[in-house]
Amino acid sequence: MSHKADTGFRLEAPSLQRLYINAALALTDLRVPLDIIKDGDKKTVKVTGEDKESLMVKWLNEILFLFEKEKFLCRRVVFEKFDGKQIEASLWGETYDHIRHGTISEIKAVTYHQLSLGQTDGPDFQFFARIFLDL
Amino acid sequence: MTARFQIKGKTLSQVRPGTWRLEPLGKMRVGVELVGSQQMLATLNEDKSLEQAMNVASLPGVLDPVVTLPDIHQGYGFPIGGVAAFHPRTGVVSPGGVGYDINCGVRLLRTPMERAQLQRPKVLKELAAKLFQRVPCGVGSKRSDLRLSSSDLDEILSEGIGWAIRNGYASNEDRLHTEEQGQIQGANPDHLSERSKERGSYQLGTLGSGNHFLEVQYVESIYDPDAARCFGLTENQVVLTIHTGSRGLGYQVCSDYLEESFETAKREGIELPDRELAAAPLTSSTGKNYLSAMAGAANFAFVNRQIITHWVRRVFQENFEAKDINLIYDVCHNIAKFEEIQRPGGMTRVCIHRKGATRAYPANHPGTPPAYREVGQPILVPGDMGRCSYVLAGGPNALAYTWGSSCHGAGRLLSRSQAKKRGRGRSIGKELESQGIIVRAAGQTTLLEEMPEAYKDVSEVVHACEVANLCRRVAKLRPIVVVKG
Repeated sequence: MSHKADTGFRLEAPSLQRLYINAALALTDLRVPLDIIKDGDKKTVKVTGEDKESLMVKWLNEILFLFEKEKFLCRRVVFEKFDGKQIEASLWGETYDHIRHGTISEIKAVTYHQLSLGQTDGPDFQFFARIFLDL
Repeated sequence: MTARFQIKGKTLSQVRPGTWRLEPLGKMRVGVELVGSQQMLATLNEDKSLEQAMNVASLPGVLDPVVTLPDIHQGYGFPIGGVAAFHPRTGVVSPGGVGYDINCGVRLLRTPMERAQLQRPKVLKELAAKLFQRVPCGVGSKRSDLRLSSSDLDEILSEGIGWAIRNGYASNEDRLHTEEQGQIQGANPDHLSERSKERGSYQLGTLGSGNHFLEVQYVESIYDPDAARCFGLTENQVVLTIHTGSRGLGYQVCSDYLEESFETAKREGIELPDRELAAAPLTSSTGKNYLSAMAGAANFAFVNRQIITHWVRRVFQENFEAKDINLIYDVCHNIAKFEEIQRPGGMTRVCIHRKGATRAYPANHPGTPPAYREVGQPILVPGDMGRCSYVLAGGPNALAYTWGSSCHGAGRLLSRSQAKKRGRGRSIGKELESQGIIVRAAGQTTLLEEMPEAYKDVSEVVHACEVANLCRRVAKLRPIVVVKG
């Protein structure tokens, strides 16, 4: 999705848990295509939010932070714990390599701007999210 | 008869030359005044920036009017190119009204060199390579030659440029030529999270990516010889512009306090039309702590631009033996702070949010550095990397009508994805080189996203501010070397 100064994405998933996982993978895929990321390294992440929106924003900002601090690109996510207000996750991926993964642009933050999380009427993909990023 | 026109079914009436007013509607507590030509403002039909300005006008304690400048475009919560002032007792402060990149700003340096000294492409390319090498840029860039202790970081947050002077990165003149003398008062490092400090400790002295840049330019035209003389600018002189902010430290402060302000707003019963507009009363502990943390992030940004300046000075000394690289001025364009403004009934202390707007003090204002008091504060307005940038001086109407503010840049015309589409198969670097502009960038994507035609023509933006008498042109600058993240 296009925003004059920035960018965003919309996704659908069969469960709320899958929605959060797919959002993290979509965020990574915006910078480096998932299929060229190896999944040999593991990180663990713990995030809490006041509601489902703040959990989404904080979760995705955690993914951004892992990249900023450790250059970690996340390829695969497994939730050890998820209750709609808390996530404990194991992330598999690898360290960013300029040559192999190409140059990427900075994402300053995941925002609440027009953030929308909810349920659809569709039979298979019942949960959707719309997320904008500050670039 | 008053001129009128409509945007999205809402009537704007002309109140002054180049200024249009939307009277309060619905939940708006005050009016919105928009600076720009009718033709420029027609672009508001295409995005949500007018709605965003109306949302700001509905916040508690907001003072009349909310102002938008001609480079207005849609932001998060606040429109970019927006200014709003709040009453110190009844008003609020909004982290979204400052944005993620706290004290993103611009500084302009003058050199003793002339354009003719940099005309050979080989010299330009070598200079571009040296700057690219000495100023880390791009995603995740770090400075390996700068190690900060935690006490250093706390001093940077509290004192800003004062720390840089003590550590040999700045002169006292640099301090005098920085907005708020390089130190926004009230910063307390205890109000920044450990994570924000961590993100700051390894990013100080780096440019970042996106629209941030370092440019070598020359003075193409002088419009106001007296002001140009006062700023030390002459035709064909080589100058340097640095555009960057508080890096990850600022982004984290914004994220932390957006969460906290949202909870505070809920508790205080503040109705929020958009969660990015989360705001806390200026008298609340959240509001006070945010302003204190934000001041710390702003001080960090001043030092960030100063450290980059230090390395740019080194490059010019080593390559051209050019010693006197002096700071003309450094302005913030994403900030919230208390300023004294002359209003009907006397001087008033208000909390001004400038989101993509530059302070624009006129001649004889005590906030203008003594060296520039006769002509007004320098206003630095970067354009795109192919056309030009402007140096302006504050004009009389800014204090009277726009909370002492003017425009901050060109404003985007195309979204980043539209720009990438338009640039498919093109080499922006080669196109610019054919115009005599050497570009070094960490990645090709940034060059496509930042291509000149992705931006409005900055000359039109500046003209619209002049029509409204917020500022006047002093000089026009043309890029010759561009370093991008």
